[in-house]
Amino acid sequence: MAIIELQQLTYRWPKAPSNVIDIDHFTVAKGEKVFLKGPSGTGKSTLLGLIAGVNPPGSGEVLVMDQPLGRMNASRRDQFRADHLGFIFQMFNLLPYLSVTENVCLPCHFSQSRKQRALAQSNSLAEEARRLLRDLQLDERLIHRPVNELSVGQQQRVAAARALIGRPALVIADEPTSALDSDTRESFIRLLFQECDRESSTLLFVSHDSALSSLFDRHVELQQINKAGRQSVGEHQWQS
Amino acid sequence: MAIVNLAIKSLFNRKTTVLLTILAIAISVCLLLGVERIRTQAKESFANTISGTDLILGARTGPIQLLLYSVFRIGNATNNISWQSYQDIANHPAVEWTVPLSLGDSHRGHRVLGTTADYFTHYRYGQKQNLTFQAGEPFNSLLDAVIGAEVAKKLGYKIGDKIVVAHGAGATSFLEHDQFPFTVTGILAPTSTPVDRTVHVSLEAIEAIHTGWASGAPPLPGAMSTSNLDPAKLQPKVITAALVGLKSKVQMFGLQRVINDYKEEPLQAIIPGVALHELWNLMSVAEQALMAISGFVVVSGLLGMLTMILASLNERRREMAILRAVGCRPAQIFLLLISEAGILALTGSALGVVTLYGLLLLVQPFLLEHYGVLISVSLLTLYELKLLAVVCAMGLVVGLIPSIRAYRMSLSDGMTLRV
Repeated sequence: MAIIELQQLTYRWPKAPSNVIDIDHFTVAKGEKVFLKGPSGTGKSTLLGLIAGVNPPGSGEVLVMDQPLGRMNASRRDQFRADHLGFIFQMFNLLPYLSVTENVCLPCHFSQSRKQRALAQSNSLAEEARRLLRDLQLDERLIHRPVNELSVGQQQRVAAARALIGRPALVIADEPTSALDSDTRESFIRLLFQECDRESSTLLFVSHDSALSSLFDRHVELQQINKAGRQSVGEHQWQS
Repeated sequence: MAIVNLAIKSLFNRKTTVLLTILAIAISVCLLLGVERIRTQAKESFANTISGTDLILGARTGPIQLLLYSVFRIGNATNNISWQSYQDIANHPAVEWTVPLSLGDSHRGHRVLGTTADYFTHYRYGQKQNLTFQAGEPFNSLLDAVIGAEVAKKLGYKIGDKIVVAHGAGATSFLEHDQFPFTVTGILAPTSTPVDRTVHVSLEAIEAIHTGWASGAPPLPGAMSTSNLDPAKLQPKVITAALVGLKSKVQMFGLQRVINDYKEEPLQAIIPGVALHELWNLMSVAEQALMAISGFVVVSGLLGMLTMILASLNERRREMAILRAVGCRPAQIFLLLISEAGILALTGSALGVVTLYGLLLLVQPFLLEHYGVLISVSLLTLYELKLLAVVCAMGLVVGLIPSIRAYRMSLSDGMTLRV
């Protein structure tokens, strides 16, 4: 079964002169760990927005778990994202006013099904959060610290736990390691793999740093699948 | 519910600005309710001061002035009325009872009222309540005095204490009627009216302590004493005002006309309720101005909140992107912001109410003592609750502005993290 399937997908930002995304076909199979290499300006975050259902496709289909996101209305797409997708961003992933555990449990407040799946694993959401953090080797003593006192690497583990709680089908990691030093980078990825396997989540890992790509099942260059990207069309959105 | 929880936690994370915003709203709400309360309660307190008196008779001045000096002991009489004229009116067939009032002296800042024992039966306050004694009895002999509850409490007087009356109405006086010390024979129960702050003596006593003062200065020491006073000469020649009760209310306007047209002397009769109404009319402009000002202060408090939330929006774009990524809908982002506004307005209002009660408890004795206005610390009235509801509703309306903006931002930004 394909977790992600893109067919004849195009996308153009409102008022933009041409497409930023033009992909004939792209699939990610269930359980796969895919490395998607996309330097800035290749439509990377636009593509992630389409897969996440934040924006509807311009034309063509985005199927996630065989569900056509383009045919859902905006609030169904939001619900679908809450139920089935986990995200890890580059940095500053956490809400500063929530505790470590509250940050991890956050998705469960927007999705009943994730809450249920999390509670199927542990007795309480907090306990499930602690289990995930332990699996991701975050020091137990750090759990009661304010999140902004954690190091970047520690914060990314909390973010990974948040992406994984309630066993989402797909985890999208957008440059999650670019703020980490090279030593912690690989160990973070290995822990992420191990946890994705345990939760049977598929991983789409986006980065511009191909040094890491050898760890993955498959390596995809965005520029190769995105015909629009080849004409060096500037991205509408500014991306760091 | 999860969203409201997030809103509360997010507010807690910004303690300083949030606290200042709440404080600004609280102060404005406190001012609004305070003005409203003092306004209504001052009216009530005034309206409760006299009851059951149909007319007040006095020298011709303004109706409000006569009301103020005769009943509220505010200001001084410009003129007296002669005993003869008073007797003429008192003997009018429509009149059931009259109580003469003679003012002008004081005891340690408290007005001394010369009257008759009828005062204690005919003067009524509140809902036609009679004066009652908490100790002692009305004055019987010449130099007896009945004091109000507050005089007794403040000066610590008991039955049998001797007091000396001073000439004039000031708190300090260099001329004292010290040849004639009075004895406290009665202490009235509290009424929350100016009666509490009054020393009551007989009309004859007022006359007695002023004998020999023809030159405007006290007689030589030792020249006067109770023994050489001629009781027949203690008939008062003038009084300040009189309370008049009628056999039938129907005759009220008729008698008022008779008094106002009295040929021998320029007299005036006022109907207390009508005079009070004139007083309110006089004050209504000031009242409305005060209400308008406090309304504007509330608006500025809420604008402070708007500024605070709007200023926070840009730095919270990241927070919104994270929330969108975990499946939060733009509508929920809207709800998050509007609940922040709601929580701020509500907490501000609640703190305002608490501050108001604190202040009321603090200023209550002061207002009673200096202005004779009793502000009761009672529960919020329906009108006050409505005012609070309006403040909170306005807070939500003001909160729409950042909420709509955040909604739009979350739609356009999506999950893009903006540093």
